[in-house]
Amino acid sequence: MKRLAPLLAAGLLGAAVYGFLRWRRPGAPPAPASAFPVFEDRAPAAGVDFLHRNFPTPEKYLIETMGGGAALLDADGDGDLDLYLVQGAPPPQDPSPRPPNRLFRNEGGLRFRDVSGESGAAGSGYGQGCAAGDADGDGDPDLFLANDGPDLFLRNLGGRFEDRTGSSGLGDRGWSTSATFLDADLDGDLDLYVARYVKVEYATHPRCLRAGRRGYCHPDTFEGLEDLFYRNEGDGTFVERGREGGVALAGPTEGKGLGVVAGDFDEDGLPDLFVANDSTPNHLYRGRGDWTYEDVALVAGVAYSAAGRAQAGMGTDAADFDGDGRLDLVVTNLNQETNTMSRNLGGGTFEDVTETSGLAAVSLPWVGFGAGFFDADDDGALDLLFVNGHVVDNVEEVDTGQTYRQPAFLMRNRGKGTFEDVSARAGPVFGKRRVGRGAAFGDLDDDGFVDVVLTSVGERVEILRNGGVPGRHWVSFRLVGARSARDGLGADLRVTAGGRTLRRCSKSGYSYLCASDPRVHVGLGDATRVDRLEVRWPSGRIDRLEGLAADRGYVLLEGREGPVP
Amino acid sequence: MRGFLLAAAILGPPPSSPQDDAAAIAAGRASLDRNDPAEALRHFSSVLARKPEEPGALQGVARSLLLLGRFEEALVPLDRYARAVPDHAGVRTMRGYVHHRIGKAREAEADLRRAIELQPESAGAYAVLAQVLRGTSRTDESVGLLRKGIERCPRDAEIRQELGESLALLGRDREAEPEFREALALDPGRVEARFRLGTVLERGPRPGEAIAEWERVVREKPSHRGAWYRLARAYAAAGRAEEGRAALARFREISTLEERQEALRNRLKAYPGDLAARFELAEALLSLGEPAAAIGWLIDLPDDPATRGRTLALFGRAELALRHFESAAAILARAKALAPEDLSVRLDLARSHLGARRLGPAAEEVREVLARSPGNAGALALETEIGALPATRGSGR
Repeated sequence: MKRLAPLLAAGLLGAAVYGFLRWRRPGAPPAPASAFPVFEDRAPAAGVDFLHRNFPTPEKYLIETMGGGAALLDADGDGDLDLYLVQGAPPPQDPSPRPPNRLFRNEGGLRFRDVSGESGAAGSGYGQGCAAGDADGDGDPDLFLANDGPDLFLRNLGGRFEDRTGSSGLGDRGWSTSATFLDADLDGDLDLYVARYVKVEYATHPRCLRAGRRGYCHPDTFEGLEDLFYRNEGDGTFVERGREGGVALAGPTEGKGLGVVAGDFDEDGLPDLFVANDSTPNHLYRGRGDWTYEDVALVAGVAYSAAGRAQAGMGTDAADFDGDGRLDLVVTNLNQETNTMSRNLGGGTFEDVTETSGLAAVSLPWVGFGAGFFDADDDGALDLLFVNGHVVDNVEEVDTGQTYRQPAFLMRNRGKGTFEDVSARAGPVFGKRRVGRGAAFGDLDDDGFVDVVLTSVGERVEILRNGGVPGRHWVSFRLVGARSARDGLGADLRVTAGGRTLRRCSKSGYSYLCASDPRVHVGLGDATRVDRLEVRWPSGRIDRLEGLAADRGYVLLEGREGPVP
Repeated sequence: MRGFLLAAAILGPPPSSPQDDAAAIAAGRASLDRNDPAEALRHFSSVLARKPEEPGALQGVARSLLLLGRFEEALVPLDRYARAVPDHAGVRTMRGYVHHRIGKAREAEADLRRAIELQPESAGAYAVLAQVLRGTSRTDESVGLLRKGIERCPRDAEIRQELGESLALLGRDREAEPEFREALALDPGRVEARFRLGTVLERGPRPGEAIAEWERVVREKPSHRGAWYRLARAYAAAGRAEEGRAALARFREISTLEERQEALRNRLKAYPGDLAARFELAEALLSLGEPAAAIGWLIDLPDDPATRGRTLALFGRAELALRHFESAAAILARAKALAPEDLSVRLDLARSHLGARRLGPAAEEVREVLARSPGNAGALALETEIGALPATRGSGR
């Protein structure tokens, strides 16, 4: 009940399902199956002028090439997504002040206002990734900032952030990268998984050569750092239990984590974790439900490439792209490796479908980072976006087939688990070259089509507004847990509409260094209503609803089944 | 040129190397035909020491270095050759390949296209150019190029394999399968074509046929990591749990060695002067059964008194693995003189003598080892082996 108090105060509990008005184009005829939206960069017009600074030096510190993340979160509780952006920092010998991380408040109409100064969310250290989640269960999302240097935990107090790193126990030093909140022990509050990269200090940073020139070191030069896994004690503190959980793997050929995503891959009701590692085998940690995990990646077939080689895993996402109800995986990798697409066959095994899905030839030449499945055209099939950018800033000098700046790609799901490259018709933003790193996904203008925020090394952030496809329908769900964690992260939704059932999950931490919209967006294609909705909450409770009208958003309260208003 | 000349300085020409340039080049080519680039390098280097611009020797040195994985160094003789003979299709092809391997895609493409212009039957140029095209977002174009190559060189297995690769990468498995099969019909020893054929068959789904292909791959190349990996998974899926576990164990064993080796290679790219890494890499390659590659990482070590003993010991072990018993014995005798207490060197020397059928010297080394280490298992095994052989004298090779 404690958790629901703010909702009661807001008067929301009166309705089992609460619809909030969204954009709609009434009467638009069904779109042809091949119709696809055009994306356009609206960052300047939206008032988002964030320039990432990586502070490149002749020393070629590896951190300079890793980029910074973004979080899409409703920081001020007004129902729309605000935007938080993570900044780099000068090296110790550079006396320049560290530019702050920035928070942009969504003013509606895809206009943002910089509220960094008043928000208390400036950050510190060399910023890498961020995770957003209602860790204290008070109804608004808190922020975890993964840094090279002490991490930060910022508690959200109604739109203003307060640094609670010290009291929370989340200020570990070392090089943290991507992180995700999840209720690992299903006790109703959010725990935190932090992927960490390599062991290196500025003072002892090695000097590496590439083809005789000074360049960024290969990760093999370093020892991997063990990931961190924090248990939320429910009193504002976290305790690191990675070693106890069996996830604290480190060493020359272990760890080096850059991407992480949580999901129930084996459908046993317990959250699992997939970690993409750079040049070492990936991990698929199967949760046993007692805070211990077993790495089943090798047996499952997702530790290595199809040729049995560890790849340079960067970003990752998990979603049911082939519509069989199981969570599949994508991992972005280095050029000449291809990104890797793995289809979940059930029974604890995956099949590498990189080539047959259509991803191999497209991704082979590029260095992939941020990636995510999302229904770009609201046709009910999850499409795939991935951003690229080389890690070597002078790569053109040593490798004439490569460029530092690289294009992003958008792959349309043809509906049978195969993809086609539609970048050329999805807007000039996909032809543009950038040193791509982060990609965060969310419906920033609440128009029913998912937009994408891209972060790049040393470049301006981009907000790719999704122009949509007239005639396509959708629904969106904001989850509110009661016995489950307050923001319902980890809930599984089965949405039946237009004769098919789609599985979608409530998640925020995936891609690379980023936190995305925690709301569950579902493209419905031509269907104008959801016939049936089943919500499997992390608590184990299953709620069922029927007859939801399309083209609007809903708040789903755990345990409150009932008719659609 | 520094690397191979230093190697030649350490090792000198092979004992049987002819003084006559033409004969030495012929000997080098014969070594290459036997897949022995280390020895070929020494033959060709002996010619270049006398005639620095001898085209046959330059080409031979380049091929040897290329086979030893020393791509950057291979460019030096190739550039020198190309300056003298700009329009030699074979050299253009080889240089295109080297450029491709060191990431110079534009230069590679120019060389390979020119090679095809000069000689439209340059099968290797089609194959490597296809790899360049795939790596630069032109996989579709590579398919057209390779089909053209097949028209010109219908009996070339490599072009067929590359076409299979391009088609598989595009997910066109039905078209890829016959290309891999044709490559194998033309050259049954192409393990990568067989491995990829297995991949396509598994997706068929024809897992039984895939398993048969991968089993053949590991018979032909027992250190094929990918085939063990796929076998482990395929056996498990077929309910052959025990075989699956055994394949997984083998995969893990090879992976550990190869991952360490890859890490060392990457470290050496960043720190070319890290001698400890270089020695460790050579040892890892020897453990993986790749003595020629091990030599590739030893040939440009400076002749430093502090490391000479270890260098010679590793060279000797690599020569022994290549069954160059005479050469191994000569090198290991030098290593033994520098480190008389190193029992592993003495055992390798005994094995070299044994390989050359010099039983007396072999037995003498074994006795020395047993005197210092009475229960030495390796020495005891050799003692038994020597005792079982009739006493003969002869030379190895």
